[in-house]
Amino acid sequence: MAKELKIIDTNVFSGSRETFRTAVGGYWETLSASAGEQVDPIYYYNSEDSAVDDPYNPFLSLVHQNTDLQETLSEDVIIPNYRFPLRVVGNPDNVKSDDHWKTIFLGGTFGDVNYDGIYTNATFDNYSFDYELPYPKQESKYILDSSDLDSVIQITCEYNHHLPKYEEYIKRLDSELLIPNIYLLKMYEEYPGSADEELGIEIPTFVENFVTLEGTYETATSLLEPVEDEIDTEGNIINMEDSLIYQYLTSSIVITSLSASTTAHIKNRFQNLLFDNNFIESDTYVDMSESTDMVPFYIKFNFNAEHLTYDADGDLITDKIGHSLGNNNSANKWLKTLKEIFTNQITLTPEEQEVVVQTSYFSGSTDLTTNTYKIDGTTKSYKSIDYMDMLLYMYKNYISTTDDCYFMGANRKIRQATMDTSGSSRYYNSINVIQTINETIEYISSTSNFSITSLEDLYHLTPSYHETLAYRIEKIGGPPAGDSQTQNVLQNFWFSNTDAFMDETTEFYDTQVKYGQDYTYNVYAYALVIGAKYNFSDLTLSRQIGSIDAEDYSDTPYCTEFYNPDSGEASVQLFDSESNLETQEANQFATNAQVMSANKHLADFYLNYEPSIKIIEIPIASKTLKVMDSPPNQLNVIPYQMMDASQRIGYTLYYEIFNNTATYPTSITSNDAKMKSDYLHAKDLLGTDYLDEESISKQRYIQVYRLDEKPTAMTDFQNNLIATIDLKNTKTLSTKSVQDFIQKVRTNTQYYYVFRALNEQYVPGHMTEIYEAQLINDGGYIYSIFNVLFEEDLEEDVFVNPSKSFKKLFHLTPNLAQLTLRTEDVDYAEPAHTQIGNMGVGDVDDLIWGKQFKIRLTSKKTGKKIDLNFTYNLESD
Amino acid sequence: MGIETTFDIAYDSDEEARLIARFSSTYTGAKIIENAFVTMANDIINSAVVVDYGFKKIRHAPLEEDNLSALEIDEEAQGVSVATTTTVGDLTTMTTPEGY
Repeated sequence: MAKELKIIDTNVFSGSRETFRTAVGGYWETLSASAGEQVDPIYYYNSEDSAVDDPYNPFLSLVHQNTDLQETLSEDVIIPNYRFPLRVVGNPDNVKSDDHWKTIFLGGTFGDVNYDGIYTNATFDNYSFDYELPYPKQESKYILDSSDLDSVIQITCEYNHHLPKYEEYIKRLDSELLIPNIYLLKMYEEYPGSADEELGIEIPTFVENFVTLEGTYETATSLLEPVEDEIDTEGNIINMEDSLIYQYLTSSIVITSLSASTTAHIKNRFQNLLFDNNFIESDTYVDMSESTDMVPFYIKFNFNAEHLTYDADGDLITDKIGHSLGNNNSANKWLKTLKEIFTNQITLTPEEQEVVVQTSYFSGSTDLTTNTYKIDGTTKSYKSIDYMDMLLYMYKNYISTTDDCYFMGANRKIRQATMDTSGSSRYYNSINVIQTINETIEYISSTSNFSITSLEDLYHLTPSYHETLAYRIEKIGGPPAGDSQTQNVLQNFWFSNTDAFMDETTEFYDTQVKYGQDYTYNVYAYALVIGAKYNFSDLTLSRQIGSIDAEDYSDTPYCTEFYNPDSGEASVQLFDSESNLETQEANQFATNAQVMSANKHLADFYLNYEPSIKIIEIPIASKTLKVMDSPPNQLNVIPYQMMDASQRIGYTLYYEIFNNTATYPTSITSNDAKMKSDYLHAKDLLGTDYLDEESISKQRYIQVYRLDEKPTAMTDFQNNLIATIDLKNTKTLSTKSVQDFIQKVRTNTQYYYVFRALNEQYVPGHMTEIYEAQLINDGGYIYSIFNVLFEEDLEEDVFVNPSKSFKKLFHLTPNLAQLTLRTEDVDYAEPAHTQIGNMGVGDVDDLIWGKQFKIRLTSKKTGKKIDLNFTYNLESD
Repeated sequence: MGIETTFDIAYDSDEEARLIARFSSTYTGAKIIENAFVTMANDIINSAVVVDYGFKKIRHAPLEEDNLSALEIDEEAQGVSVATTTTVGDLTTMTTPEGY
């Protein structure tokens, strides 16, 4: 199952300028339904699929065609082209007059009504066809029950070996094209340069110089031989460092400069790498997966290409147009011309083909519980080129005008002829293209491949025939340039579509990439579509010139005359070669312009048509990614206290073995989060997926984070990095896997520590648990407490009822001066109860009794405020 | 007279060729010189002959763009713009919903 594309030519869409379609049916339109809007077909009124019996235009009742009068439109044209007459019959109940009939066809105003006109002599074409798109790998992982998906595209990276010198070297290169290419290395193994004179096959000198480093590296013929055994016969451990490719990449290419000539050739020719039929079917391409383990890193492509030779049932197909390119040795020239057209290098430039694309596909959910079926319709513009124009260009331009490309493989005649700049291969190039043109014409002349015998055939909404002839992978990268700061196209890979090109087991590898650099890859398919090009011409309309009352002519009571609506002059009917007035000897003066008819209103015009073939560029996928190493392993932590008065605590940190049941490490910094997002995207992983690839580069650093307060999330450790420990011994170049970290701390203070490892590529690994550490000084006796907190422990409860009652939390006591008793007016000689009113409380000018006060509490953490209002009341018993 | 038996020995052609290759020609010296002169004479005769190959040329009208289409008018641009979405949710399989 794949994403299903319905690519609809805008000509066959409601609202297009092809108004006759709208009148009789055979178009698409947007319809509303309960689940949204979608594009639906409105079939030709007289077809089996149609729900109506009459044309949609109420002024029409019938459309006939007379294919007995089919004739060739032009003998000068080499592709088949025909015309036959159509007759449209007006609906007598709705057409009011001959003038009204004319207005219905040509447009204008009749009475108070405006008419657009259903007739136009503009030329239209229709290349509507169906296509299948693969699901992007990461998108497919969200889909429930995705086992039914058999069409998935994956663009991902592989990091096999950490070779710092190699990475440093290619980082300094000003062009990715100068990075070793695995296909060239493999090719050189099979065709070892001009030295192989016996085979008569050689590769170009600049390629030989590139691979052999100007001839200084003599064993380039066995660079990709895999290191098969881990232990050799003498018991020595064999690893990557013992391989030839290791020496080649880390030493030879680093110290050997390529000549200016070789560099210039590589930078020019490798802008477009062309993979023709012969190369794709060779062992160099097909068996490449056996050698990929030997290269440090690369970008990998895999999807199910549309097969050209075998159908879905595995049955052999031999009669496709694409086969004529291969059979006539013109596939190479065609591929190179395709490159020139779609990179705008020659006068023949692609057109923008406006289409409506309706995509039907399944979409998953992030929790993987349900699927959604979606149908999206949108207007798009696809680049296209006329196939016959392209063949004609190839025929006329037998001399190569561009040289920014290289055909992978040895110097075969077919490749050399394509790159011919002198004309020495003129005959070879010309005869091959002519044979291809002849076979193409033969193909489209066959009625089994293209046939229109009625308006229904033309207006039927069956998808046009298509076959995919080629694919392109466009690589964009490098520093942004220009006012718009866009990245440039670095390279294009062009592939002839053979069955060996790409399937479940065959992949393509791009090794000409730098570590950690973003590259955008756009994958395109080039589909050949056989459509129809047509127009209407020679419109003649009828006008009534009499009526016949005779009983013998009761079936044809109307005597009408056909006329040219532009000039108003009588014009012969098109639908029949003779008038029935003549054949029935009803009127000896009648010409073929005057007829007896059963219908009052008639219109004749020609349908002119021809097959038309286009190559349409269809975007298949696009992805921006970078080569990345996997995160390093977790650390195991053992805390301890120095048993002295130094107030030091320590941690012994062990680098653990790989755990294949762990997800991507938790992020602390925004940079971590970006790295995580990039890695999961590059590897097509979900956040919940376990990582099954271990870090290739060794552990290099340990980062120590510390907080003085309990964190509420791991991100609280951001900006609290207190130490970075380098595990590498710069003298021995060995890397430690055990390391101690000791720190002096204050007593009776809680600290929160967390640790993580970084590999040589600065990729952070898993965080350890959080260690809550405290040195207790209990009257001079110092002891430590270590508690372990897990990430889950940091989650704070969500407060349901944030209010909590309390009492005796505050005790507000007035100043003593406010409580002092004033007794100067008290007469102690009298009974006490009589003097209580003479006694005062407070010996200050501004007493607090009976006054209202406010206390405001402000949270240091949240800044929120609480106001408490209270009054001091003086009471007496 | 007793029975006389004769037997003509003949080399197999392959064997003879290998013997020639190994021990050189079986020809006599005179024959070798003669062959050399014959070869030389043939070379001289042939070198004096000027061979003129006459190609039959069938002229065709050049193939031009006009020969590729009988419908010369370019297609008119359409003013069609579409943006539609249909969504059927809560599916538990990858089976296309009925009616779509």
